[in-house]
Amino acid sequence: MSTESSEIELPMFNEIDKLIHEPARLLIMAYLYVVESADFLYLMNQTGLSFGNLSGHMSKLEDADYIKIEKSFKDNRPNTRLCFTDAGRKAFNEYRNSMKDIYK
Amino acid sequence: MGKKIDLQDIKHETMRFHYEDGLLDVFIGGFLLLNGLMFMFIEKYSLLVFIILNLGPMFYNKAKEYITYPRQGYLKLTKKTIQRLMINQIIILTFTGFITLHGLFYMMGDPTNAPPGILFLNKYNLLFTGCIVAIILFATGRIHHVNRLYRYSIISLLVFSACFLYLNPPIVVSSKITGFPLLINGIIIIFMGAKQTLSFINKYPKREN
Repeated sequence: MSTESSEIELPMFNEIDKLIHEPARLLIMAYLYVVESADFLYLMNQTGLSFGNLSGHMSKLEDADYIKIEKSFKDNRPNTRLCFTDAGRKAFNEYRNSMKDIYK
Repeated sequence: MGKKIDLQDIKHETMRFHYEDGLLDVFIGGFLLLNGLMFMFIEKYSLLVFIILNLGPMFYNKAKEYITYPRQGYLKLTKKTIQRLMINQIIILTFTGFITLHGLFYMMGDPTNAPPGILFLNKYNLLFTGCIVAIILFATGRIHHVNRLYRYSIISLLVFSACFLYLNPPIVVSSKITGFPLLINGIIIIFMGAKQTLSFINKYPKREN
């Protein structure tokens, strides 16, 4: 019985974007979703993630073209600004919808 | 990470975080203080005060750049959010401004011929003005999700009520009397805002980005 049920449910879970589903990345994307853009420090404060941790997740999201990272200098200080790409926003919306569908 | 992810909550939390620096409080306090000064010394320094009032947003943005962003990080709100905030704020200011201009100051003319409603509004002018300031602060707090402004709303009511009782204004209220509670209110809000800014500075030390 358990085999049968897992066979039915698995394709449904396959629709979930595993890259977004990871809790830390999900939190990062949720915080980015509600703003136009934010910098690295803001996300560190909001998510409570360490520099290295956040940096690692950012690279993965950037590689997937979900977020855009712009590096610049502001008052002689490095400034890393992040924002959603259109693909990222679409993927996040799809993720939300697929999660809603699962719990129907 | 044991918390539920609710985008609406995150949006509100983002707004609260954005205003945690207390600079909005100082800005509002300064605005009230300058308005109070303008009412009190309307002939002498009104132009100077008017210029400073208009420079307010520039000072606010500069202060954000020097105090907030290096500590808390930078965020840009979405255009949709900014539009919504602006529209709500304009509605509140227009609504309250309309009440103020229409009822309280400019419609009375000769007190002997004025209708009883207008006389009543003028008699309790300070209390009504206090209510309007309190409504503006409360609504601004609600729109921007800054709970501290609710406190200032109550303080405004108390300050204007105290001034009403203490000054016992005549039926035709002079602008000097209206300016006094605005001034006191502004000083209190600036003081509380500065306290909030100091605690913000202690909470978020300056960090390299």
